Amino acid sequence: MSEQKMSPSRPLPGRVQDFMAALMQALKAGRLYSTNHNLFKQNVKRLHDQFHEAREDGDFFFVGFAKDSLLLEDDFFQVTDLHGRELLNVFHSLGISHLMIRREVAIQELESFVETLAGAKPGQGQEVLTALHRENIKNIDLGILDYSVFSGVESAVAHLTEGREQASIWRRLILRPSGVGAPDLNPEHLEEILRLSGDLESLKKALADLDKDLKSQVQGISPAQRGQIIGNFLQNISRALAGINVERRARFRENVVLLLASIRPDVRIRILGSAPPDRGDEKDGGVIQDFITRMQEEDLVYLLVDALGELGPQSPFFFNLFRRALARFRGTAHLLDLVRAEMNRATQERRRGSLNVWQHLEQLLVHHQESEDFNAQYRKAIEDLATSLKIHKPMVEEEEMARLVRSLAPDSLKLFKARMIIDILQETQRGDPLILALLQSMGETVQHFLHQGRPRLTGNVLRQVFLSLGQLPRKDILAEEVNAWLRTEDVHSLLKSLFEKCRTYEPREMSAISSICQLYPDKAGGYLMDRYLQIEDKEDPLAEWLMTTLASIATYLTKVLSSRLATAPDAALPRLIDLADLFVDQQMAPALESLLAHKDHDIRSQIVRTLGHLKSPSSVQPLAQMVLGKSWFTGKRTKSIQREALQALDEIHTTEAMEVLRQIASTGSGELQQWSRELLGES
Amino acid sequence: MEPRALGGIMMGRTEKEKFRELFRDLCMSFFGALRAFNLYTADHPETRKKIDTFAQKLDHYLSEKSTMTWLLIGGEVVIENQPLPELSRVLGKVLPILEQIKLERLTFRQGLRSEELIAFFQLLLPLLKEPGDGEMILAKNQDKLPHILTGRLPLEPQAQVSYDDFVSSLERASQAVLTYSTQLKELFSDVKGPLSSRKVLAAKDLTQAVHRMLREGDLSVKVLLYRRSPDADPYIHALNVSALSMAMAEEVSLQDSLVHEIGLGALLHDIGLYHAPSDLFSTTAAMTLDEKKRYWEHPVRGAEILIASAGIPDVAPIIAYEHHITYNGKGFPAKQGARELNLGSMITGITDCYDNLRRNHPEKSALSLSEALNHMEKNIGETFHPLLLKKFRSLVKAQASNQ
Repeated sequence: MSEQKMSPSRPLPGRVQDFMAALMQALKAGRLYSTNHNLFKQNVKRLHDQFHEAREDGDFFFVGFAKDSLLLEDDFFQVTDLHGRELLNVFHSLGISHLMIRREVAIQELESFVETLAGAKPGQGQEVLTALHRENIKNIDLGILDYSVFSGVESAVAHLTEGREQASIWRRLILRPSGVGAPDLNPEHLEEILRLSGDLESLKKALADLDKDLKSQVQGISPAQRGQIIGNFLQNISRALAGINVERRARFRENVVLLLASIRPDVRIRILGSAPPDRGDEKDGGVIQDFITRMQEEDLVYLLVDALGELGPQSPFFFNLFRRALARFRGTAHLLDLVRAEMNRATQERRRGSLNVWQHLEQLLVHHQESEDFNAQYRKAIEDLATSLKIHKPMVEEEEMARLVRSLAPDSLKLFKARMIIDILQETQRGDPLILALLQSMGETVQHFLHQGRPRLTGNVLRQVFLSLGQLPRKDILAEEVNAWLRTEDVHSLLKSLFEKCRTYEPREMSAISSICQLYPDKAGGYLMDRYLQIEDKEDPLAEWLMTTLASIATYLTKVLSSRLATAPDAALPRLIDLADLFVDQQMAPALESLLAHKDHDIRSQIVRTLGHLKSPSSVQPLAQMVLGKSWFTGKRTKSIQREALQALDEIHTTEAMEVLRQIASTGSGELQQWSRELLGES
Repeated sequence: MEPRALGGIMMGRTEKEKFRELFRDLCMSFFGALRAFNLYTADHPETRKKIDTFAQKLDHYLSEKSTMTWLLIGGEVVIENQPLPELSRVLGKVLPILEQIKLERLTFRQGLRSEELIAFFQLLLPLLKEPGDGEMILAKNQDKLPHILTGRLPLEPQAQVSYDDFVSSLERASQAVLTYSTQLKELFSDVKGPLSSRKVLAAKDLTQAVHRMLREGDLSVKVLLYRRSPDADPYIHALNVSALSMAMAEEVSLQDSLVHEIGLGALLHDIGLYHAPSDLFSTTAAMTLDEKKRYWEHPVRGAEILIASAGIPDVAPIIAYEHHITYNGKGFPAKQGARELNLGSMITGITDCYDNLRRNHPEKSALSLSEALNHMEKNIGETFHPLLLKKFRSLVKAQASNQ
């Protein structure tokens, strides 16, 4: 919809015009003077006064910067004065679509805001928003969208109203930031909201229209921004219904649950992760938290894994979902159990592709729990020390001083340095030229701890490296650098020492070992396989962990497993073939094919079944030989294995494999012909 | 004064005399130009001539040194810590007026042009006639004079340091500090990546020299604490923070090697700010967003540079990274939760904050010693480790009673 159709016929109210002028003046002062300058302070003070005039009795002041007009609360207003036009240009150039200031805003917050805005260059809207968080400006929010968002919203509003005169309420519900209290509604508005919220199909259509309009009309809008607007819209409807009609709100929530369950997972992630869980409107849960709370537990962990895999750990969407999941389960314990169970299931079902994401999620949960514990301990230590100093306990002072001095001991410094490098790696968003230097220094620290015989410390440092590495650019080059830190024998001895200390194999106990395996898959694989072969009970928690971990690093283990298959004693072969089956790696096929002539029937049978699972085209010929070659085997056992070979060919399902099946179906003998026909669906 | 080695410069009596002559000449030129400005219009040839003469002489001096500081107190003129009693009589009329407008300190910085000098004279002349609100007017217009810093000389009565004590102590120390600050400027220039081995060596030598001066009393901690020049020069700041951190490290009885390492880390704590052209930070207008980002990132940049520099001890990058993180885990670089800080970082956090409070910032004058300590006291247990701040106060107290 064009800007003209927004038809801002009304002139801007005087109080708002004064606010805009004050903001523009303050920006000009901010460009000329430092924040300590009197003129700057005077201008911000005036802005603060004008803000309170502009918001009247409201809890906040909201203004949208459309192309030639301003959106105030729910309608567009003409901008005719010079300051207003200048201000529109400023916000357009920054890419800021709307501004919301809460009543509680302190004058210092306004000073920082004006200083930040005044110092920003065109296109730095997102950086201004980041600066607000950094400067602890809590009562000012910005919308980072192109001004064409208003055209998109107007199109959506036109769809929603279908000719009725209720455009204002929809504008308000779509654009008004959530977290600022319930909007005032007149009976007509209420009727409109009830109509939409109670009807699942209308709601579906409304959201689809909104998404379509945003996509087509808003220049450069990202899926994340669309998710944010839709999430905001749903939260606002829920909040609008909160104080009015409990029953209708419950029905709306039911509808939202159905609606979200029916939409594409990637869109759902962005809607559900659009807002943090601790905003004002979430005190009573909010519709998003409600959905999270009512999801099947398994669905929720899959949602987290999908978000982590698709968007990465630094994404605000993943971070918000992670926090919402923690809020639902009141901590990490149950979530860790769920993740472990689903990870094991994925291994058994040969869904190897996502296993490293599951492991990453498990590590993040363990890390979160440890951070929470450390924070609590640290806070207590601060309080205890303050109390002790107040009552003048000289011993405490001495002990504390000795503790502080120990922080300068060589090993402590190494640890401080390692932690600092990890922090820097976690903050690094870009291709920093010094990353490699940081990693080299970290490598020296890791080697130092390892050679000092401190495996637990080494493991913990490596765990942090693993968590940091996951979010860095040029991951492959960096992973190569990390890989060079330790030799295969170092990794083996480290794993051995760490395994010796394990008792329960719970996530927290295994997190360092998991990280080492992910960082050094090629070097850890052989040791893990040997460990796996030593365990008789497949249901043993360690066996399950080993299977999952080996499957997650399978792509690095082709050579190791192939060589084990070639040299292992017969007793070990079934377990090794099990692993090849779990790995679902076609490159394992040649090693297995070379064992097809094994003297043990059960082993041959297991290999045939596994080859079927691996679906490697190279297996067609050896399998065809088994059913076509007359001289190989005879008797019942031969028949049974030939039948399995036919099934394997069917699983492989390449043209060549199907040709073999068809040949046997037409020219084969007796049961073989019949089985082939059954597999071809000809019987 | 016997010739002595100060950061590689030999200062002897003859050279001192030459400087004395130069300072006297400069001072006379300055007041001569001011007089011409009073008698003629700003664009009169005589006025221009006098102003240009002074500007040229000053420029010549500032091509070697980054600043030149004049103290105008008690009817006396002290330039670059050289008392010039012979000027007291010549300037007998104007000095009391300058005292009335609290113009006790006048610092000229590299880059001063005639236009700025004219602007300063235009501001100053009416004040000589109506000195009433002079101090406020000068402070308000400071942003228009980026190369001429004016203000009071903070004096701390509780320190009971005599004027002679002050001058003689500074005479020895500040010449060295200025020399070192020039070396530091060179060290911090063109920092695009890891420091070269030459720069690392220079930084270590500098730290050792400062430590030696502290030990031998040539650089008095008392002077650093009580007579901190309000000059905003970042290189002097780095030296002060290094010296004070070493004094603190000795206060908590650390071994010599650790004292040096902390001193080195403190000297280089802001090196991340120089990972860019040095004129990036404007001194008068509000910071741009890019400047802010550079400021927020300087601990990370600094730590990265120092980690990548061969021969730097482990504590130095830790200090660079942690010096803006507070005891309760706030500050920056921002972290999700609390974190234990290294002793070296907490010491530098205290001395850095102290020295920052005691120097001028655009539109914000330096705090006095007691104001700075009170300000820090308010944040005890949150920004600062309570025990270390207590140690810092002890250090201050000990210096006050150390006559």
